[in-house]
Amino acid sequence: MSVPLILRRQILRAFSPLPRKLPTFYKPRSVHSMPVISLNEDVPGLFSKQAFKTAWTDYQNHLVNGLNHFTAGTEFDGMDAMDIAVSTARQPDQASIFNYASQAYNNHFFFQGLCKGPEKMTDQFKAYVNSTFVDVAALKAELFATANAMFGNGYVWLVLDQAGNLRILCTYNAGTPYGASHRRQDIDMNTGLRLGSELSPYTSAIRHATKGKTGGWVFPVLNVNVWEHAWLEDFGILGKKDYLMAWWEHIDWLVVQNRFPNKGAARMPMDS
Amino acid sequence: MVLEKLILRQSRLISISVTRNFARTITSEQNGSGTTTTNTGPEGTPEAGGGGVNNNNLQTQNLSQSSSSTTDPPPPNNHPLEGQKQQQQAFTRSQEYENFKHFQNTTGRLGSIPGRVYRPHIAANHPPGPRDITLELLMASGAHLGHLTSLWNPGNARYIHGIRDNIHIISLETIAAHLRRAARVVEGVARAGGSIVFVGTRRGQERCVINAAKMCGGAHVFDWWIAGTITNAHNLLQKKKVVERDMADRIVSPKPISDGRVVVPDLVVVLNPMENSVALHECALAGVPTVGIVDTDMDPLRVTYPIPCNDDSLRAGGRVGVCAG
Repeated sequence: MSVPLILRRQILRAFSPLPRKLPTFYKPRSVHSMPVISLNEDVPGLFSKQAFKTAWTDYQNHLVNGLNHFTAGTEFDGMDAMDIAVSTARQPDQASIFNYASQAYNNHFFFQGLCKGPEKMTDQFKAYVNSTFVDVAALKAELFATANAMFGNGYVWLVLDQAGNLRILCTYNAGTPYGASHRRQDIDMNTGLRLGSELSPYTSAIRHATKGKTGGWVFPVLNVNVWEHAWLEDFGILGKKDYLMAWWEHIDWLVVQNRFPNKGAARMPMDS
Repeated sequence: MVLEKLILRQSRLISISVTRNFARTITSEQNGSGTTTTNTGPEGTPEAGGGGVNNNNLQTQNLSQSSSSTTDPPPPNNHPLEGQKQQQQAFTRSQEYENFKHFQNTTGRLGSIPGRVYRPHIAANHPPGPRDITLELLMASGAHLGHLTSLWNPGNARYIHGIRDNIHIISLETIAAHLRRAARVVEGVARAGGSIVFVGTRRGQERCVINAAKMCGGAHVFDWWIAGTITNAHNLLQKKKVVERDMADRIVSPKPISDGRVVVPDLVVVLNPMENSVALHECALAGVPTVGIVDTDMDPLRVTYPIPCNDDSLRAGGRVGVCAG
C-alpha cells in the first residue's frame, strides 16, 4: 500500500462522521436572548472592533446570561429587563437580579442611541433643549461636566420629567432612572451630593400635581455610558474626556427624538 | 402675531435656521399670546404655543438654575395670563397614561428579549375568539376525538372521518362548518332580539357557559336543568319574583300583570345534550330550536342544529361556547 492511502484510511477511521444536527427553530421558553441593535461590529471613532466587542457583544451577552441564570424558572419569567429591575428594586436580597437587569437595560439603551456617522440634531429636540437649558452648547457643557465629575462607573441620563422639563440625572454603577428612588443610585457615596440638574424647589402642591397617575415617572431620552470598560480599550485609562467628545459626534438624534412622548403639550414647536 | 404663527407653520415644513434670541422671542410671544395646552396628533406635530414652555415657567426664577453656565435671563413672561397657567401640567392625565403605555411598549422593552412563557390565566381569561378558531386549534383541544367504534350511532356516519385506535375521529372541517352555522344561528336570533339559554351541566363548564351568555345577553344553566322550566314554568315561578322586561331587556315593571304568559327561550344551546335529555325533550315539546354538541355515540336528530364534536373535552366545549356566544 502506498503511504498516502494508509494515512487516508487512518484519518477516516479517526474522525467518525458527525451526526447531523437538525436545526432547531424554537427557543427554550423563559430564556432571555441578546437584544438587537443597528450597529454591527464597530462605531468608527468611538468603539473599535475590539472595544465594541468588549463593551457590547461580550458584555451584553454576559448580562443576559446572568439574567437568565437568576430569573429562569422564577416569578420573573418572561418579564422584560426593565420590569424585573423595577420589581426587584426594593428587595435587598434580590440585588443581583436587579443589577443584571438594570445594567442590561442601561447598556442597551446606550448602544441603541449610537450611530456610525455624525447626525444632525433634530429641530424638535433643539426646541426642547432651548426651553430648559438655554441652548444646546449649555446642555453639552453640563452633560460633559457631570460625566467628567463622576468618580466611578455609571451612566449620565437626560430625562424628561412629568412637568415637561429636561433634566440631567446620573446613576452610579447599575442604578436605574425608574422605579424606587434609592436604586437610582444617584448619590456620590463620598460626598452625599447629587450631581446633575437640581430639581427646582417644588412646593408640595406642584410636586403632587406633577406626580400624576404614573407617579413621577421620568422618560429618559439619552444616556452616556461612563463605565470604564467603555473607553478603556480605545482611549486609555485617562481618555474619558476624549471618549465623551467622540460620543457626542455619534449620537443618533432620530432615536433620541423618538423616545420623547408623542402626546401632550410638552411637544415643543419646531421653531429653530 | 397671526403672521408669526403662519411663518412658524411654514417653518415646520422648511427648516429655517433662526438665531437663538429670535427663537426665544417667538416662544415667549407665544406664551404671551395665551394659547392653552392642546392635544397633539400621533405624528407629533406640535401646536404653536407649546404648553411645555408654559410649564417651564413653573419655576420662572429658577429656570436658569437648570443650566449651570448661563447668565442669560429667563424668557420674559410678564403676561398676566402666565400666572394662571403656572399650575398647568405639561401632560393631562390621559396623555400621561398614553405616553406611559407607549413608552412601555417601546423604550421599556430594552435590555433583552425575554423568552415566551406559558401563562395559564391568559388561556382562561382571554380565550381565542370565533375568528381565531382554526382547525389546528380544534385538534389541539381534542374536538375530533369520538367514542369507541362499538358505541357509535350510525346517524353520525356523515361526520366521521375515520377510525384510529378503535375510536371514531370526527372530521375537523365538518366541525368547523357546523360551528360556523351554529354561530350564524345564534347571531341571527340575538339580532332579532331573541332570548338564548346556554346549558352546560358538567363540572368545569360553568365559566364557559356564563361567558357565552354574557356575550349575547342570554341566560345560563350550569347546575342542572330543572324539569319543567319551559313546560311548567308557571308552577315553578309561583314563589319567585317575576319582572317584566322589554325587547332590550330593560325592566319595564317590577310587578307585571300575571296573565299566565311565561318567557320561552328562542334558542337553547346545550354543551352536553347526552346528559340533558329532559331539556331537549322540553324544547321539542315547546317548539324551541336547539343547538348541541353531538358526539359519535349520540343521536344527532335530537337537536335542531348538531355540532359534531367531542363532548368529553372541556376545552372543545369551550371553543363551541365561545363560537356560539
